[in-house]
Amino acid sequence: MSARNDQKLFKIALLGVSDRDMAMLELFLQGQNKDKYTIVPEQQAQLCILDLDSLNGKKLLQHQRNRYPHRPILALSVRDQEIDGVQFLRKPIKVDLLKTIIDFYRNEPIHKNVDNETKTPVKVQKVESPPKPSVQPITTGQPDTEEKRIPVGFAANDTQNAVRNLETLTRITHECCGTENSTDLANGADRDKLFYDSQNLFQHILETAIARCRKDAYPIALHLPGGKSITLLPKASVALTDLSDSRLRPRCLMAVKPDEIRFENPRVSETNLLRLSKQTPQNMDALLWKVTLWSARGRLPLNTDIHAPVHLRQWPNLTRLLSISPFLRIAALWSRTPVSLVQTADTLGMEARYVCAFYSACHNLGLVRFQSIPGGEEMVQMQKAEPSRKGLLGRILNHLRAA
Amino acid sequence: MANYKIIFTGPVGAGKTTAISVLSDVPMVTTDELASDMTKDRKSQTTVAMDYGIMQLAGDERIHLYGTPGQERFDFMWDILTQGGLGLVLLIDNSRIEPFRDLHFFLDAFKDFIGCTAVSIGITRMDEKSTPTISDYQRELSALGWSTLPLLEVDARKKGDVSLLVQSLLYSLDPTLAN
Repeated sequence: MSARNDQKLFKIALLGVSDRDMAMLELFLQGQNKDKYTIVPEQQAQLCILDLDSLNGKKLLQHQRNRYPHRPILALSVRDQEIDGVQFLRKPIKVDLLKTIIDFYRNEPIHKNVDNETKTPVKVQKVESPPKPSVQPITTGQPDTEEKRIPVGFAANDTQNAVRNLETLTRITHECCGTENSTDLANGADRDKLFYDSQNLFQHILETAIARCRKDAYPIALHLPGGKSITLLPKASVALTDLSDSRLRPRCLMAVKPDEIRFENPRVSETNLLRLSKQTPQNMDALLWKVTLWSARGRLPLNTDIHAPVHLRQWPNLTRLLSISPFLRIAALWSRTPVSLVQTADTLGMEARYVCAFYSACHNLGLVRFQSIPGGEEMVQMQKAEPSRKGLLGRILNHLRAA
Repeated sequence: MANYKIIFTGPVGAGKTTAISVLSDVPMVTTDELASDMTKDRKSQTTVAMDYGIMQLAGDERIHLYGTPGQERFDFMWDILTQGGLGLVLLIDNSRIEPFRDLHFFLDAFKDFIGCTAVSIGITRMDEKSTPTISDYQRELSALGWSTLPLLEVDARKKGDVSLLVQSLLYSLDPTLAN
């Protein structure tokens, strides 16, 4: 390779990596992407990738931070970790995410300068932006959970913050909507991949408990294996639990035995339960919404008619629910006109798993209904929208999402 | 240079000024006067004319963010401000005595503009007062015949909330916008 080409290649050092992972990384970096990256000794690297789980992983990390304090580090680990100034990538490594992260470091974004502009009508004052919260706004519907919290220490580094946001967003999307586009609504799909039966899942138990406590207007506590519990308070419409999302999510994927979860009516009033609890209350509907998403993972409830037009009764409160951007588009379409699930995916040019995930969650909260007549006229009007206006709205959207 | 605008409206203290300031790419300007009437019980200063901010898109394109004065005696400004607007963001303060009255009022005041464009509704200060709930507002909208409008809980200080509210407005105008 010529010296000129070498200069163009992004130099990466690999430290503490096992033989098996080394072979994979070499194939990825110097095989598939040989025109972009190259592996070099640590002294020459622009980015260091190290395996934190190796025997000397922590010592390697410390050495790198001491010796090369200004060089970015990408640490691989099977565990979620947070160390100030270090980007983590969870194993097993997803190559598309690895590539995205490396490209972020390779192509540091140039910040635009916006001219300050003021007008001077009589008695003008500039308004300072309000103090910004320290957590970044990826909506998960819960006040302070591990999913929503992005280390404040990264706030000063736009690249690391953007990468961390991207990794979190990718993970949340996979958890809510599955990991592959296995559903093809238009051509009829394998039923096992398209539908799921919640009857034996925690989702069904939670639905039953919520319905019961609302009907009786009395709290219900669900006692789970391992000593954890979820207490539902119907008047305040909140749930109290010592179960974190990372522990609750796996329970949504496993079949539950009938006697595994015990129901109990607490003897303390709802007011006292709220007052005495040290747990942060979470909205009951938000809890059911995310449990449904985790259980469905991009699939539909059994016997859903994918060809019947669906209409939204009301918008879900997406600022306070576990949400990804496709949900906004689907909500907007279904609130405007009845459209089948098949046609939704086609009209929006969207993977079916997003449509199915959103439908399943809305269905469980009673937010959707089937219509007998599809909204043909409205659909035609949307497709006739002026390209220039479409372009403008799209540019505004991109600006908002990039901010 | 292409210029477009989005209008923010709602009663006094709902968070219009704050919402525009978190979205604006330039220091926002506002005209404030000391409140001379019952408004002063809610805020020591209130917006008399309007708030103004800018979202600077690529190239020369700008989206002007206009906030209407919240007091009803300045409603003559509303028609002027909405001319040529892309859509309306309505903020309702949940801690006020009659938030449903505010909802009715502003939806009615801007119904012609909404009919030509779109509206998204943000309910603010739900951390100060949790009722009416979002479900209550949805029922109220249905009773008014405004079938399904985007209605979200919003903290006007949080850019993510305000951004999502404006995104819901844009998608209401055209759900087929691609990411």
